[in-house]
Amino acid sequence: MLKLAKNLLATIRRRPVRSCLIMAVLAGASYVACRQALVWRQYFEACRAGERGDFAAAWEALQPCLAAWPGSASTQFLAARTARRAGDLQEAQTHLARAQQLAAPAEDVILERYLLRAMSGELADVEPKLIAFLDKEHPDSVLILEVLTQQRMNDFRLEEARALLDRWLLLKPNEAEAYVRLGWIDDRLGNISAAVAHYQKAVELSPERDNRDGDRVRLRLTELLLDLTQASEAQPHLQILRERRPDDPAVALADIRYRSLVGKSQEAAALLDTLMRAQPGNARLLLERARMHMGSAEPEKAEPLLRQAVALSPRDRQVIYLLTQCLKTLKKKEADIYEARSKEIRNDEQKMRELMQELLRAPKDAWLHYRIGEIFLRNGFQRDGERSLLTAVRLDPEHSQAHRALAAYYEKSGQPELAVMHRRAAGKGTP
Amino acid sequence: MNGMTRATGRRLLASLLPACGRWRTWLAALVLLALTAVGLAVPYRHWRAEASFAAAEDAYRNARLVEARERLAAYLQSQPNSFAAHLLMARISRRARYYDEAAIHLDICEILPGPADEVTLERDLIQTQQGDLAREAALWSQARRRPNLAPDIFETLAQAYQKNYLLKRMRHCLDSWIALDKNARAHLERGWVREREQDHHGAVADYRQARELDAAAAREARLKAGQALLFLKKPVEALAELEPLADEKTADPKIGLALAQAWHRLGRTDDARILLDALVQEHPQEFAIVLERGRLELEQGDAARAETWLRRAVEQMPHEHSAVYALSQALQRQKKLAEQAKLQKRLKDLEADMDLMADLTARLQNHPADPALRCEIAKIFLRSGENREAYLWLKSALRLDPKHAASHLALAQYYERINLPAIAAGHRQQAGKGRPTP
Repeated sequence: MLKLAKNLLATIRRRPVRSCLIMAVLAGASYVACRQALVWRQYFEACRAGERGDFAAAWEALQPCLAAWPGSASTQFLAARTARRAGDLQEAQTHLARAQQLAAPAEDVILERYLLRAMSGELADVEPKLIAFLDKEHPDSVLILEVLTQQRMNDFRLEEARALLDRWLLLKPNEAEAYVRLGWIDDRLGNISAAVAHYQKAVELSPERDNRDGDRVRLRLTELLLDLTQASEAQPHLQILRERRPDDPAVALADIRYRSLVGKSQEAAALLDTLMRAQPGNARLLLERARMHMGSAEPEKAEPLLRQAVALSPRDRQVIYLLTQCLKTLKKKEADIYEARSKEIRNDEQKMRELMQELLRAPKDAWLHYRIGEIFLRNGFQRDGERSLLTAVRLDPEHSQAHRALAAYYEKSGQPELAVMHRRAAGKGTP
Repeated sequence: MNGMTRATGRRLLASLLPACGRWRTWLAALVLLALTAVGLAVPYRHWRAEASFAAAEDAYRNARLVEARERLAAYLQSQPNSFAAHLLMARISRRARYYDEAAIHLDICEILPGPADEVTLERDLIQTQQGDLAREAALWSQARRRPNLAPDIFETLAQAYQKNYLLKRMRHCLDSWIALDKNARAHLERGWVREREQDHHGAVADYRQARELDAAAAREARLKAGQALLFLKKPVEALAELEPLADEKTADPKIGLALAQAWHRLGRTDDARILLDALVQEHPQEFAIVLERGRLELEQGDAARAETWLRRAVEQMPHEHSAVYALSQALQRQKKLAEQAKLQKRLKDLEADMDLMADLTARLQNHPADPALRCEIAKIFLRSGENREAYLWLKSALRLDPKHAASHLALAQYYERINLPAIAAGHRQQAGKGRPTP
C-alpha cells in the first residue's frame, strides 16, 4: 500500500499536469455520481411515501428530482400522479402534459388522465374505461380502485363502492384505507357494528396514517363505541385522542359522553358547561347538555337549549325529537308542530332508504339522483345535496328539474353565476 | 530464503506470460462477441416485435380475434407508443364487442402522432356497431372511398341494421359487401335476412356458399341451412346438411333439435324421441326442445302425453304462439273444450300482436327514424313479457326523440314491472301524465 502511494506520488511529480487533470475529472465524476445517487434516493423515497399514502412527504421528496431531471418522463409522470393523489388536480394536469410531451408510455398517460377526470367530477364519462382497465388486471388496479371507490361513495352508490372495496382487499388484504372506506359506508347505512369493526381494523393496520390524517378514524370509532354504550372499548381510544388532540372540541365532547356513560355525570356536566362557554353556537353541545337536563328531569332547563339547537340545525332528527319530548313533558301545544316536523324527517328518511334501494339496481339513473339530492337539500345536507344534483345533471345534462334545484341552491348559497348557468340549462332541458 | 522465493516467482511469471497473452486474446474475443450480441439484440427484438404485429394483422383479417389480441399485446410490450398497434387493438376490441377497451385505445391514439381520420372512423364504427345509425351516411361514403376498409364498414353497418331490424338496408349493405369480397360472414348474414324476407331458398343458397367459402364457418352454415331446409319441408336435404354435425347433437341443443326434427319428418320417430329425451335431460330449460317433444306426441296421437309437455312449454314461454297453438290442439283432441276456448282467445290476441308486429316492422323499413313505430314495437314486447327487448326499443325511440311522451309512459310501465317505482315516477312525469312530485 505504502509502495503504491509512493509510486503514485512519484508519478504525480513526474507528470504533474496530466495527474491534476485526471484527478479533476475523477472528482467531477464522483460529484455528479453522488448528486445523482442522492436524487435517486429522493425518487425512491417519493415512491415509498406515495405507497404509504403520505403524499405531502412524497411531493417534498419529488422536488429535487424534478429540479435535477426536468426532462425525465417518469419523474414528471410520478409528479402528476402524486399531485393528483394529494388532491392538487391543476398541478397534476401540468405534470401529466409534460410527461406526455416527453413520450411517457401512452397507456399510462391515458389512465392517469381518466383518473384525473374521474376526480374532477367526470366519473360517468370514464368509469366504464376504468372498469375495463380493472378487468384486464392492470398493474395500477389499486390506484384505479382508490379513485373509483371514492367517487362512487361521493355519488352514494354505496353498495357498488363496497363491491370495489372487496376487490381492493383481494389485491391488498392489509390496506387500511379500504377498511376506512368500508367503515364509512357501513356508518352511512347505519350498520354501526360493522362500521366499528372496519374502523377498528383500519386503526390497527395503520395507526400512524390515521394520526397523520388528524385521527379522524379513531375519533369516529370512539363516537360509535359510545353510541353503542361500549365505554370500556372506547376508553383506550379516547385516552390516545386526549393526549394527541387536547384542544379538539369533538374529542372533548366524546370525553364528556364517556364520563356521562361511566356515571360521572357531574364531571361531565361541568366540562360541558365550560365547553359551551367557549363555543356557544355548537348544536351538538347544546343537544348533549339538554339531554343531560332531560336525564335529570329538568325539562325547563333543556327547552331553551333545544330551541337554540333547532335554530342552528332545523332538520336535525335528534334535536327535533328531544325538543318534542321536552315540550310534551312541559305540556306545551307547540309539541305538535315539532312532532309533525319529526314525522316529515322520518318520512324523508324512509323515502331515502327506498331511493337508495333503487339506486343499487339503477345506479346511473339521473332521476333517482335528483330525488336524493332534493331530499338531502331539504334536510340541510347541503354538500351531499349539491353533489347528488350534480351527478343527476352529469348523467342527464338536460335534466331540467335537477338544473332548477341546483339554480335555487346556488342562489341561496350566494353563487349567482352558477345559479344563472343552471337556470339557463333548465330552460333547454326536458320538462 | 527470500531470494529463492523471488526466483520462483519470476519463473512462474515467465511461464504464465504466454498463457496470459492467450487469455487476453480470449478476453478480447469474448468482449467482441458480447458487443456483437448486444448489437444484434436490438434489431432482433425489433424484428420479433414486427413479426408479432404482422401476425396480429393476419389473425385480425382472418377473424381470429383472440390470437390477434395476444400477438398485439406482445408487440405493445416493446412498442407502447405505436399508433398503428393501438388502432389495430381498438379494431380488434370493437369486433370482439369490448367497446370500452376499444375506446381506451382510440383515446391513446389521439395523444400519439398519427392520422386523426382513422381514429374518427373507428369511433364511428364503435357507435354504429352498438346500433346507433347517426353516422350511417358518413360510413357509406367512407366505404365507397376506401375499398380496403369497406368490408369492415359493411360488417359494422349490417350489425347496426340488424339491431334496428332494418332488413332492406341490411340486405343492400350485405349485397355491397359480397360484391366486393366473397366473405362467409356476409353470406351467413344475408341468409338471415333472406329468411326474414320469406326467401328461404335464397337463404339456403347463401348458407351453402358460406360453407364453401370458409371451413371455420361451416358448422354454423350447415346448421342454418338445415333449419331453413326443414322449414321448406325438405328433410332429406336437411339431414344431409346436419349429419356431419351429429357428434354435437346432445352438447348443442340447436343441432340436436334440428336433427330430431329431420328424423321426425322422415318417419324415424323413435330415434327422434330418444334424442329429444336426451336433450331434455341435458337442457331442461330449452323451450324449443320441450315444444318439439310435445308436438311429437301430438302427431303420434297421444294427446294426453302431449298436453303434459306442451303445458311445460307454455309455462316457459306463455306468449309464444306456436306453443299455445299446439296446446290448444292437444286439448281439443281430448275434448277439453272449456279450457281450449280460453286458449283460443289468447291465440287470437297473440295473432293480432303478430300481425301488428309484421305491419310495424314493415313500416319501420321506410321510416326507421319514427319513434312512435319503435314505441309500438316495444309495447308488443312488453305485452309478451320480453322486457329487455321492450327496454331496448324504447331507448332507441327516446334516442330519436328524448321527449317522446308515449315512450316515457311505456318506460314507466317497464320500470313499474321490474319494481323500480321511483324511476317509473320520473318517466311518468316526463310523459306529462305523472303525479306531482311530493
